[in-house]
Amino acid sequence: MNSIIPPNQERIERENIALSRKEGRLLRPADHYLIQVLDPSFQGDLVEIDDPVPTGRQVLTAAGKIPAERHLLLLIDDKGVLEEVNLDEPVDVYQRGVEQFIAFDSDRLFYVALNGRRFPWGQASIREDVLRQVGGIAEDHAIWLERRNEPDQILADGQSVDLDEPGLEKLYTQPKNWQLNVQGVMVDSGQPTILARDALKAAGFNPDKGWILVLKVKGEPKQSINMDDVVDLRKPGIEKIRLTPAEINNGEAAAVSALDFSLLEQDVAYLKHLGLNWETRLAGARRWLIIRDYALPSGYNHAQVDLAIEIPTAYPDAKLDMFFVHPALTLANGSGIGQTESRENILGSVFQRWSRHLNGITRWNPLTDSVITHLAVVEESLLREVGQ
Amino acid sequence: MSASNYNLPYKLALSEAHHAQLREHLFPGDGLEAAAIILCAQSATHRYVVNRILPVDHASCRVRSPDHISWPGTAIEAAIDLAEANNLSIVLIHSHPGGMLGFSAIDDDSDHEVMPALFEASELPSILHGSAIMTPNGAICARLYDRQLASTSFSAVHCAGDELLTWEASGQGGVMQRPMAFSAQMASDLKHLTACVVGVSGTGSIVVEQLARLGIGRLILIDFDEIEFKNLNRIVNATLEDARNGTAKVARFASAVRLYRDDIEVLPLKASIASREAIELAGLADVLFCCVDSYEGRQLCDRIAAAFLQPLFDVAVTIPTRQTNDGVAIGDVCGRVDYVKPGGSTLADRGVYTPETLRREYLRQAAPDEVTEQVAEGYIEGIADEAPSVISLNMRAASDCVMEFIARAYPFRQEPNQRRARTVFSLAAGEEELISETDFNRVPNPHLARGLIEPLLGMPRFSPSKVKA
Repeated sequence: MNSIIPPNQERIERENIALSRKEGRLLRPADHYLIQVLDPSFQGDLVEIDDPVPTGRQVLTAAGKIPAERHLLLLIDDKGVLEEVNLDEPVDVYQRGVEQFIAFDSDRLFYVALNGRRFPWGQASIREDVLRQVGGIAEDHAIWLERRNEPDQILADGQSVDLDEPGLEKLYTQPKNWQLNVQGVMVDSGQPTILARDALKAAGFNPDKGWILVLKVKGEPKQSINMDDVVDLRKPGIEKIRLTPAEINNGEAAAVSALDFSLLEQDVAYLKHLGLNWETRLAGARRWLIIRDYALPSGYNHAQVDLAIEIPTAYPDAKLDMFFVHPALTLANGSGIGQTESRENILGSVFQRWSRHLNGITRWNPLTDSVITHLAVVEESLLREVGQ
Repeated sequence: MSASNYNLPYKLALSEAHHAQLREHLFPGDGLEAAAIILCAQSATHRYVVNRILPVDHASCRVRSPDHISWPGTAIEAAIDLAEANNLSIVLIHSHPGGMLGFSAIDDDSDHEVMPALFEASELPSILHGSAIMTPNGAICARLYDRQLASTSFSAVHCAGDELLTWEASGQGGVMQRPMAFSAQMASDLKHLTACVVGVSGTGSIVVEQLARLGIGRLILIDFDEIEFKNLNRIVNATLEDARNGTAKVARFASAVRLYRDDIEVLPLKASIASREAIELAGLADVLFCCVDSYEGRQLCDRIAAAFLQPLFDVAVTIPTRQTNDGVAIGDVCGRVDYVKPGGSTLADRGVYTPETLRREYLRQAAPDEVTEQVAEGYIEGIADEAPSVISLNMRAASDCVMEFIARAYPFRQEPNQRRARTVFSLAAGEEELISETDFNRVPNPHLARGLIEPLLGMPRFSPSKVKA
């Protein structure tokens, strides 16, 4: 039956049909041909046949599926269409460009439709990854099972579809809806990549609140990312973005950045002039001027404190008000101080709030008031409590 | 913005006070020419603002005649020293008592002598210096030179007082006439203007729609926000699809405007006005519309308008409520339009925002736990309503705002505009209250006409030093 082989060609020992098609060349006449016979999981080895136009029985026998009567055979043609091959039906492998068969240990066929195209299957279930191979479905598409009277079901990785149910199982594909876990909130993304900032927003977190972002990927050390970094959701193992408030605890790191924001020029000159050890620090969205080792008048339980003054973004058009000290102060004789009950955690230290305000007559004036005048308020308040 | 800047016409803006000072000095009443030196900062590459004026003493001039003046070069030395600190441009101005709004051959020759000296004194390679003429009717024309002494005329000189004055030389030694309000000529005149709208939401979107349809030449739109479903009942041009996609408000308008205007340039910026990028873009504008809903936004617009000498139109609406036995009821339905001229009383002077409200707003954002009154101060006071149905109120207020602009640029009112520094309307009472510029206490504004001198707007938050924020 091998009259199709041009007689003038030299015969070779073995010809791999799949390989020749892949390389786009004509089959060479050979003593043996190699075809692929797959199992229902789409795994399989090359099988050797002597005849380029084998019958179903010949293919099954060559693949060791004996007796052939107990098996079913499908072929996959060059367009990816599946078709049943009867036992005594010859398949012109050479002409039709068939290099793959699927053999089933089964005696009845099932049918399934994928994106409107019906194909046979030799067992009662088909796996998601096999469907992908059969249908040539890209990774960025998901497979959905159509259902009646309930929402269609997305197939998880490796999940099987039961074909034994009444009626034809209909499947369709759609671009995957990418998902990311942001601090326990699942965020859907139409795109395979997402800006960290957008992910936070979608999860309902305010991205401007000063978070430290940690991206966790399975099997990798956790990595810090920025709000404007792009997370690639296609990357396997992406688990979640974890949020940590951007507060910095006490420690050596604290000395690294002394200036997170600017003050007025005259403020800086004044603080330098006084020889104070000061820094401006962001704690989340809050902006603190912190003066270290600020010397106190006598009469308190401490000789010096860290002094914090909150500087609003619109300063000096926005006024300064109150101040905070760490550690908390009492009078040296043990008495407490009025309007200092409230506590504030500033960069890991607990500060005592002194609720001191300009009185009704003296209002904040953006043209003349500044850190300099506010320090006068601080000093006056501290002196007043100890009767100086 | 750099690319679109390239072919822009040069604009010069000065404050009413500087204009008055110049006019008084240049026309002392003797019919003879007089001179002054103007120091200019920039609000954008092609827009200059008069920062300071140094009059040249009449007595020190060697020659003063009706058509000629010769003044001492020593006066320039003082100007050079002042200009150097902030890379200011120096513009020499003198009067033409005869009324010719244009440069004579003598003026040209004189400039070619003086300009090289000015450039010699400056290190900055890109700096431009220039000269200007003022005529008895107060009109000014001006031009700039580069180091090769190639000159470019300012296409227009703007002075925003109670009226928005614009002088464009007609080419025949005169000044172009202002067109009549609401005429077709007004539309073509508006084509030469750039307006910046900050906040493109409830009122802002309607202001934008009006300006675009009126014929404004260039629109700068600044808003950080995206369209949400709750906005659809009050942002014109916003669609369901925009809400689904979270389309930026400015992007929606940039594309919507182009559906009916092909001769308009829209520069949308999705950013907070509290950003360097937004402030620098706003510097291109001839007129500023503030349609934001925050104190900080208004504070920044106030500073921008002062620093860049832009007339500012600020619009707001509010629905005060009151408590009744049956619950909360409408107290009033109000709108407010403020017109701020550069050097006039600011929004701060008028109490639109205060050091207290700014601090409270900062705390509400940075440390919400610190603030006790948690009810969002939305349209309806005391009611946290995400989607109040207020488009009719917004339209009224936005219309009043744009009408205020038209009345200033193309005057049509029977009463002086000066009486309408602020207009407040109450729909509940059916009243309109006018507040005059003289009703407000004005404090000195150290940021007036500073242009882009650092720190930007004179605010420490924009200090260019090596700090992170």
